[in-house]
Amino acid sequence: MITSPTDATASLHHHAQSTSAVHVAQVSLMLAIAYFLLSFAYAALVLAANRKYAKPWPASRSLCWHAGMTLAAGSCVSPLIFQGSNGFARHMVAHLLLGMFVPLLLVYAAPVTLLLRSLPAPVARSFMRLLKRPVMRIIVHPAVGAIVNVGSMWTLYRTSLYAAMHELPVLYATVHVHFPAAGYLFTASVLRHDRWMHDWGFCNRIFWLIISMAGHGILSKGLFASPPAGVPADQAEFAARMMYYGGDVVEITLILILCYQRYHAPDRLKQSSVTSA
Amino acid sequence: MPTHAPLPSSRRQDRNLLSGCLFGLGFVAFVDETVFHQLLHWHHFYDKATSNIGLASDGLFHAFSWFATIISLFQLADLRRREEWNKPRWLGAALMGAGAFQLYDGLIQHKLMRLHQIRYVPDIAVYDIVWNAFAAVMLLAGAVIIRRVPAERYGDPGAEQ
Repeated sequence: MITSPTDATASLHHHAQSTSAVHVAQVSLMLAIAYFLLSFAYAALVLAANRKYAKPWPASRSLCWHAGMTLAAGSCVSPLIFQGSNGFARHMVAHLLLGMFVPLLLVYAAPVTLLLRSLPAPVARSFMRLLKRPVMRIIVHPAVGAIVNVGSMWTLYRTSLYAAMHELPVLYATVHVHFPAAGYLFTASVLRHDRWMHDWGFCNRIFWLIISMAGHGILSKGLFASPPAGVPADQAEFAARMMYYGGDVVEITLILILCYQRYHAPDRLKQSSVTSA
Repeated sequence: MPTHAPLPSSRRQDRNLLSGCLFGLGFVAFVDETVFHQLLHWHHFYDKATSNIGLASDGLFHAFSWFATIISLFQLADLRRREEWNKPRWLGAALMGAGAFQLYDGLIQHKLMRLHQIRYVPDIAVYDIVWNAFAAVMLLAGAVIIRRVPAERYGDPGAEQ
């Protein structure tokens, strides 16, 4: 059934029994279950890694992963629990959590390192070869993560995709998996917590972080002025402010981490022979 | 005894200027956001007169100002652990950075790009004059301080070039 975008979102907000709301409810539950399964998968890998290495996998990393997955599952089902009047603001909270806070937690859970440790040696070796391929250098460039992230945000809110995803369960699920994944790629490339990643340097990472946050801020103010199809102006104004200032919190956190890393890096003037690699 | 190696003389002076300047810019942006947007509610988040270039400029400066505040303070901590903080030079640079950004905000962003006005009242010109005059005074005062302070105030006098 195809309705106009205005009808789609209006029905979502006012008639819980409409087909789109039922789709959203089913897909949200499935997504939440999928994120919980990923939590179990991580725990299984930790067990495997601990059997192989004397040094146990740090509990803080496990904590980050499970917190991230719980937050992700929680933001997926939040539309079912909080049935308030402001649907767009609710969506925005979920978007901030899924796209920014969850990825930050996942980076500190170091899932790639865990995979390398827990996989059987030959498989881990070929996985490592894959990570060392030249194309991976490009993929982990912060510019790629920034463009993918900001590009998909603009696509979601500046085309009819936002209205369409409430009609098509596949689209809804894709969007809610794509944002944590794209956010992870960007956050990982900016923080370079994983040592296997090519080092594109502090300036590159901070530059693309600023560009990406600027894109985020510009889009927020754009949504304030002209909301996506079907979203009432007052909802959009509130949600846009939340997006603007919520983005700031994550940006400040990332900049603090980056500067802290640099401040504690070996003194290049004292040990000019030591390189960062 | 500093735990870190000294910077070369020219870089030491530049680093004091850069760190101060970035701090001034970030500080003004921070005051603008907390005092004029959040506490007084004089500035508007968005008024319908804003041009697209105004939105882009606001987004870039807003993101950059957080970076400026944070990195300048880490640079300051770095200068202090090298015992190379030239306080008057740094403060002069901070005044210049603050004045320059406030002038940009007051003339280009508020007036030319119509990002938002200082306050939504009839006699807006008074606010504009005070705002920009204050910015110009900070800029000039910073320049005077930097000119009058010896570049190697706290550095090694023998390293003067």
